[in-house]
Amino acid sequence: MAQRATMPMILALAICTLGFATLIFVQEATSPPLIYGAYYAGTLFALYLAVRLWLPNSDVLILPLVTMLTGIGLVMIFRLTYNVPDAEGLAITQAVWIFGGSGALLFTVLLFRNYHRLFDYKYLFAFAAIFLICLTFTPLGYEVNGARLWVQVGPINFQPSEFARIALIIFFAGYLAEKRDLLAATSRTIAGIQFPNLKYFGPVALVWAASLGLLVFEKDLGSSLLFFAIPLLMLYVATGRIAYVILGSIMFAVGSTVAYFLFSHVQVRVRAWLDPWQDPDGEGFQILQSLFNIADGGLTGTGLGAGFAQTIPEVQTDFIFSAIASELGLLGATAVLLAFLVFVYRGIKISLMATDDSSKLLAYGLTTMFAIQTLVIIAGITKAIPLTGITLPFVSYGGSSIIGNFIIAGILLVISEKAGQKERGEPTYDYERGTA
Amino acid sequence: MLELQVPLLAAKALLLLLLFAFVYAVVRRGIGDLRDVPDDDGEFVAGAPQPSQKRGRAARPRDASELIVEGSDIFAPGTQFALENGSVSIGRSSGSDIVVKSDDYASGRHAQLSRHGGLLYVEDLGSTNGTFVNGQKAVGATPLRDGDTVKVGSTTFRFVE
Repeated sequence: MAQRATMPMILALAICTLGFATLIFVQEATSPPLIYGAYYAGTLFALYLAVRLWLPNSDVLILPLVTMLTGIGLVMIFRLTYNVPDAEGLAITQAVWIFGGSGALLFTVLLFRNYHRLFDYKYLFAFAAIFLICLTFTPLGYEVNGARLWVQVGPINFQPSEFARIALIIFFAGYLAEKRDLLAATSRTIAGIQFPNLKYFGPVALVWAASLGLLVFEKDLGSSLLFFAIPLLMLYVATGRIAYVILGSIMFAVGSTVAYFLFSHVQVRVRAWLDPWQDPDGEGFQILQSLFNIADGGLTGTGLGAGFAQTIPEVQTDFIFSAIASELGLLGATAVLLAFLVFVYRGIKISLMATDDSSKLLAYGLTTMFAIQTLVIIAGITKAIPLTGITLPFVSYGGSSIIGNFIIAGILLVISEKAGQKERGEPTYDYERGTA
Repeated sequence: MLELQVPLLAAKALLLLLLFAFVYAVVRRGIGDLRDVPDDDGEFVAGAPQPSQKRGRAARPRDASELIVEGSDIFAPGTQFALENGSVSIGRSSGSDIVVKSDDYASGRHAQLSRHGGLLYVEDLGSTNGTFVNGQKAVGATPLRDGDTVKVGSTTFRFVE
């Protein structure tokens, strides 16, 4: 007996349809978006059915949430780029990326149903992650807007750090599950806090070095932050030692202070955050436009197609949440945030239900990355913290980000399938009761 | 202009309504399977006899899981303690479900085993010498798997599911 969540799925697709219908009405657009919208709806519904068929015990809410978030993103991207010179085709490209992402998810689900084999190759994953990060330093990499994030291989352009993160989390899950006892053992006590032996710390230190490299050479603050925070949190969860968090926080404080004084691109971000008005047409322009647009939205928003979010540079990627807040208002933005929250909740629940340490850590790591990414970019565009260029998962425009996030959803699905099978096998815990 | 405004306003309201309907549906579906997780035994008192079984758990078959003594100053090796579905306390006080009497290394209320969401968790109740799971000091609620060892005072139990 399969668990179903058809209702949320239908609602998610209805949101997308209504969004497109409104836009066609407001912008007097012609029919192409409808056709692409139909393709989109068809693809995701087929994906939902396929996953229900192949992974009957997996988490049912992941895909409706993905559908809702990508749908809102697609509607907003279409709205923001329609009739804008140079950006006209972005919504169609995004629809193609979502199609590709769905393929990647199915691929992940089919290939890695027995995902425990992944942990046998954990060092290979670590190597792949470092390799991907280093790829941008080679002649294959190139700069966009001052950050060297992109790699061109033949006709394909992609951001390797999006995939490096996933490889790294797989490595850490495998490594920490194996070494957690050693990492948790106390070797000395300083000032009442128990400090573990630092010998097994090597890989973590290496990744932190890579994160610093990202910061210095690629000017990629967002990825750098993720590469720092995720190993730290996974380490804490694996060992239960607060010492790691204290150590990490001190390193973060020292590191960011040093980075501020050494690198001008960090200073620019901090200046724009502290006082965007000192250069409202330059450094502060983006964040000010974002704030104006969010304020313009008010409680219920200006309505789709009636806002002025196009004035924000890069609105379809990093600043898409400002556009959502502007046109759907506080209520719409809250609904989207709640959807993110439920996704994170499901991820943590999958992690709790998972059958072994490495799966737990993998699910936890992926969920945390998703959560931190959302937190960092939304805090950035609302001027709560300095802005770091990072995409809003599933919503922002961007091929690498979309495909990477679909792969994450795929891995979470296979982990929940394993956990679901185990739950089902146990007579003591009735997964179905109260959920029909 | 006015006739354009009304349908737009309706579309806007409908979109927000749909968004929240989605969130409602997802949250409702999402917490549905939490309802089945047993409640915490907040009112559990060490001295009181355990009430037989709580509503909702009674319908479920009992667990076959048990604790088997591996090595101890006070129990014979191989002594078995069946774990029922409720929470089971271990300690020196006579109100405990498993009484480790005259064990100098155990505290009065030493540790508690409780079941949440299909997993058995062991939690140290602030004992002096701590509770160890597989040789590691248990911090917070630690889930037990088949074959794990739990050390309370001088006694080492093996958990069998």
